[in-house]
Amino acid sequence: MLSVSTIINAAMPALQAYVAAQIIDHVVRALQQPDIWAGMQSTAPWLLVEFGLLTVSAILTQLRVFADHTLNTKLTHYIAMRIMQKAKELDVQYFEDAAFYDKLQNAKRQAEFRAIALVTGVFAIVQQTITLISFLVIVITFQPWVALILFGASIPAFVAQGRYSRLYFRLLTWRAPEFRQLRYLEELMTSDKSIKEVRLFGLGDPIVDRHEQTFTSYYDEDVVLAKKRSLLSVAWGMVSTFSFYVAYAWVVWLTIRGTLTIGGLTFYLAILRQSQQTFQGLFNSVNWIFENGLFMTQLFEFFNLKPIMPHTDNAQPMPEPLNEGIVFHDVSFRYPERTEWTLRHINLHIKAGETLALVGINGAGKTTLVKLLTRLYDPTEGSITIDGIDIRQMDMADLQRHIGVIFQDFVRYQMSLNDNIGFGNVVRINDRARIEHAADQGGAAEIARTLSQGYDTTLGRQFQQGRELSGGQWQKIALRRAFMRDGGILILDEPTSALDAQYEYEVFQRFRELTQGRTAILISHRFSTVRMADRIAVISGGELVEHGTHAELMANNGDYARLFEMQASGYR
Amino acid sequence: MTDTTTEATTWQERWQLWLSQSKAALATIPTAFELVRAADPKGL
Repeated sequence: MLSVSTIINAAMPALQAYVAAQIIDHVVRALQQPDIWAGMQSTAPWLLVEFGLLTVSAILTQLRVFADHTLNTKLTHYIAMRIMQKAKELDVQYFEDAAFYDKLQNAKRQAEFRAIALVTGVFAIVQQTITLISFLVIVITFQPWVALILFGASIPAFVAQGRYSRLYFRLLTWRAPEFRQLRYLEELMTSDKSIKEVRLFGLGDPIVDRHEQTFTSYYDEDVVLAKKRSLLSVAWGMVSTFSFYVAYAWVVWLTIRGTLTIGGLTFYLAILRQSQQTFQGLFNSVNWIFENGLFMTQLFEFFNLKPIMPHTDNAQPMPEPLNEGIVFHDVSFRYPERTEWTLRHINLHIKAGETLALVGINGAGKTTLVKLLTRLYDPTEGSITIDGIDIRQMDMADLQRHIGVIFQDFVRYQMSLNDNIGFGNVVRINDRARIEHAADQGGAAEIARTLSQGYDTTLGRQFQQGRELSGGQWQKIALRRAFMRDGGILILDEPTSALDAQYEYEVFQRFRELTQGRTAILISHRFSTVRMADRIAVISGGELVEHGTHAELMANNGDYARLFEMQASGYR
Repeated sequence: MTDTTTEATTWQERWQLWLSQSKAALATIPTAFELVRAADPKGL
């Protein structure tokens, strides 16, 4: 559609100018004839031709609007899909890097608009070039010097616009962190997750002020640039207008002298005006393509990001069931771009079927250890094996499929209860019996009974008819999600932090039953929970300082005993 | 990747920057067409 309308529209201006000139000349001739009807008869066919041309032009314009609309809608959806596909492919470490979010922000900014503008810009250049060639032939045949001053006067404006397109792109790229900060502040003010604190701490005004300050710093720079751009456009535009009037005066002079007819006068005036406009339009299109191309480089750079974690071609299958268990061999780790070690020389054997509790103060490295086992990151030094196989030699997706995990910052999916549990094992997401069984095992079935549409009730407040749950209810559901996994490894990172004392007691009463046949890693600050584990590992400052059973560690009288006593004294 | 955060100071630097950015911008045209064609094969 774009191609067809481009070619037809390209020929229209010259044709219309020619037909208009014919009509005027026929009218002038008719005025000199005594037979009015003969004059009308000779002019009427040209009127019909012009009517036909205008009708075709109007239909094509509307078809083009329709085609642009549908293409834009499809392209918006397609780019969103591609961004999501790319996000799915990239490693988690990308998502923990601020520079990645700047790149994402730049990629997403007006991407669909810029992509379609780039394509329509190319079509516009084709159309303008065809139109210009038809004009050029007429103007050069008429008077070559007229073509020279008419087009030559447009070149400085083109160079200036090009420079400002580049500066505008640079400004927006530089400002990506500020744009993200603006979006973040807006999110704080409008999200149900933050609104309670914002209201009770009286953060509304400070957040609005911060938004205003950040916006103003960008806005001032943007306005300076836009002002310079407009002033230059006016200045160079006046040069172009002056050159047009020089040519205009020349055509008027030729008409007065009798070299041109009245039809010729209107024809050349239309051609001169439109050819200069088309020439400027062509330059504007080139600049527009340049500007959009610069923005599109950001989207394509995002699409070209590659996963960092190495994938092996000859992946070994994840052992099932485990025999030897999980072994950390002198594992050290530091996050990319950081100099300090998060974990140092970790040697640890988690036997098959055993429950190991990880204990340590916040920031000790417990969750990082879990990230390494689930291959969200690879160790900087050392290795992790499962039944003797280095996990880097396994297929990452296969490894992750065999691990059920609940993180302390688990996701509250604003979707149905069925989905919130079923996401633990997407292959079984439509297996209602399995989901109900998982829910039955840990209190989530009671939640389902209180919901008007049972397992099909949407949870959360973000969507209509959604039902918000308490923190503890959300955690129960997240726990059931982890248990939906078929794999032999279970990782529970603070699984009971939001649960009431009674439910926590019930969970741990049934803990043995729930982890039956699985190797479990439990991270918790609650020593009532920790002591139920077969063995306990204490991590401090990224190092494994103690490990053993509860009784052994208490007898050692080390860090574990100190922390345990500290917590127990609070209950005495 | 195009360095978009550097402000060129000399004419040579500006020319180099302009050249590299123009090349990068031009190189996006075929990819943009592929993107549009993939989104809507009949749209063009």
